[in-house]
Amino acid sequence: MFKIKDLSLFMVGLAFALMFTNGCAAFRESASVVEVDRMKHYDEDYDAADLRTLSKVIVDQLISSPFLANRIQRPVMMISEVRNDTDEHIDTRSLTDQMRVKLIQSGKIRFINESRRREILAEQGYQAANVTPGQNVAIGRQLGAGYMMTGALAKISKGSGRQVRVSQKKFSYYKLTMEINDIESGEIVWIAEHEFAREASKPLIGW
Amino acid sequence: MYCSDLKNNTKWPHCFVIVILIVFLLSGCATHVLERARKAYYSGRSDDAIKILNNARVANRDRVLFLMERGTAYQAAGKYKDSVRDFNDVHELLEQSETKSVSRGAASMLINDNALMFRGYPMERTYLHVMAALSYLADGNRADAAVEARRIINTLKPDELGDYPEDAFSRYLAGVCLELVDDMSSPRVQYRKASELSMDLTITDHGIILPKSDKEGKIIDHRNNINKGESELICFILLGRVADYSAAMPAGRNVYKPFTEIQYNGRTLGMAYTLTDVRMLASVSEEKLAAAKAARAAARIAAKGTIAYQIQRQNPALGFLTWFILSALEQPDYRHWETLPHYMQAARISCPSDIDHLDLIIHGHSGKRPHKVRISKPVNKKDTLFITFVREF
Repeated sequence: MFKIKDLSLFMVGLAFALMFTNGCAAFRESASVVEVDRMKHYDEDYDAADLRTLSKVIVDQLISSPFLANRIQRPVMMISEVRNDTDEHIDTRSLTDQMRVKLIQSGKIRFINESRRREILAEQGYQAANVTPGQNVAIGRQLGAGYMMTGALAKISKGSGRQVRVSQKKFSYYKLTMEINDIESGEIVWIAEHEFAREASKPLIGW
Repeated sequence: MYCSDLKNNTKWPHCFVIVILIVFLLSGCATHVLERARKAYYSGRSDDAIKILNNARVANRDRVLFLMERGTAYQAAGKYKDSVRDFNDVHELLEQSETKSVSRGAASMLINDNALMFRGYPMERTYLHVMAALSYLADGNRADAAVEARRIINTLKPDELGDYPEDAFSRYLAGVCLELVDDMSSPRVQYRKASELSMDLTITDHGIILPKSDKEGKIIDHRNNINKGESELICFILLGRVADYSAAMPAGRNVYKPFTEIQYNGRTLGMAYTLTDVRMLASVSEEKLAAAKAARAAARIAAKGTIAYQIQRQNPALGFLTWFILSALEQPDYRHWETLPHYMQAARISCPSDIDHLDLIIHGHSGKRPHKVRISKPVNKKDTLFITFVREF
């Protein structure tokens, strides 16, 4: 007949044996594909899911705006930087890159490649000097942008104060403002903003 | 049943002593590696310091300190991208370590405070972003320098800082970084706060630093020169080493501060003044923590005494050995970011638009005679504003 003590020892031994032979998921290295539409937020800070949401919301607002409605010719645009006014090192170029992709794919706006201007000019110079006449590109026929898209990403954050507590709450509010300026007149011809806030808490005591 | 088993089992003190011995043997720290790296750094061999640190195996508890020291060495070696990578890693680690570890806390009660994860004083956490901002500026990355400026301001918020002292240089640098990204209002606030924190200096809303006795005349002179087509120069000078915090004089007594004359082709352009004595700042922080450290040490010694007494009741010899080992483990926590500069100076002066070098005549640093340092070129330029910084031991 089993004693309780023997039974508990047996159970503990069995648990260890199972862990070492089968492997506990928490102790194993693992990798899996995550669908980008289902990315989770792990804390209150800006992340990849926010990048996707912001670019989509802003592009949707622009495409359905009066600025693009009833135009016979597609406007030629350049994207300047989105100013990062937060306390995080955010790659705002990824944000504008994603917007540009979506806008070009919409077929409603044409873009010049302002970031590759030097390389384009160098290639034109090379072709003018070295490529067989007739097969080289013409010089001085680049498109001039009529509009410039700029923006700013701002953040306000707050954490729970110094007090007796077991977890700390952190709150972050983000606001992205995007605008399109008429390069000739300097007028702001379109503006949009999107804001979101997130709260997260983390334990102050852990193992 | 179990309790009586434990009571009658005379082998448990042996096991416990073995555990303590293992802890004793494993409790070695990375101090000697850091010391070697610091020595190389102080003698101007930053690359050697980086090599030593790259080959070191560092315990997680010392990782923050290790990265702080390596980031400083990278900065001195002109490897600014590596420097900011290390400083950013420290920022991440500090955010993660906001959750206090029960296991580390228990270990520290058995060993000493060195078993706890190093997080640095509040002033060290501010200077993490100061040094990162300087590296970003040197690398020509004004947008990320501004991010560090906002982080500096965050660390100086009352919730974060508590009753620890704040300093003028951090505020001033934050103001400059925000001004460089065309923030219209925040720089003024930072300059005003820096001015309030400077006992013998006045900092104007435009960031011009002047002795309190000489305010009016030089403001007019400086602004007029810029209007005449000259450029403006902001120069940050990082002097000496903070090294041993306890060597600092008590707050308020160390009135002598070095200053630096900035020359171009033999002509004096202006002065850089000491905004912060980092050693003094650290010393004040040390004083504020002293009571808490002493209380923790007293509780730990009491706990160790209880453990040794319990073992002694079973086996007097083992009890004595336990007490000996636990006492030997009792060491103060001297971990500090030692490669931080001692004095932080800044100047904002007018300069010729074609400036290609600068001579700095450093006065009154560490009792040395005035000595000259040449900067071959300003590290960064925005419109008519040159920005440069130099690290001098």
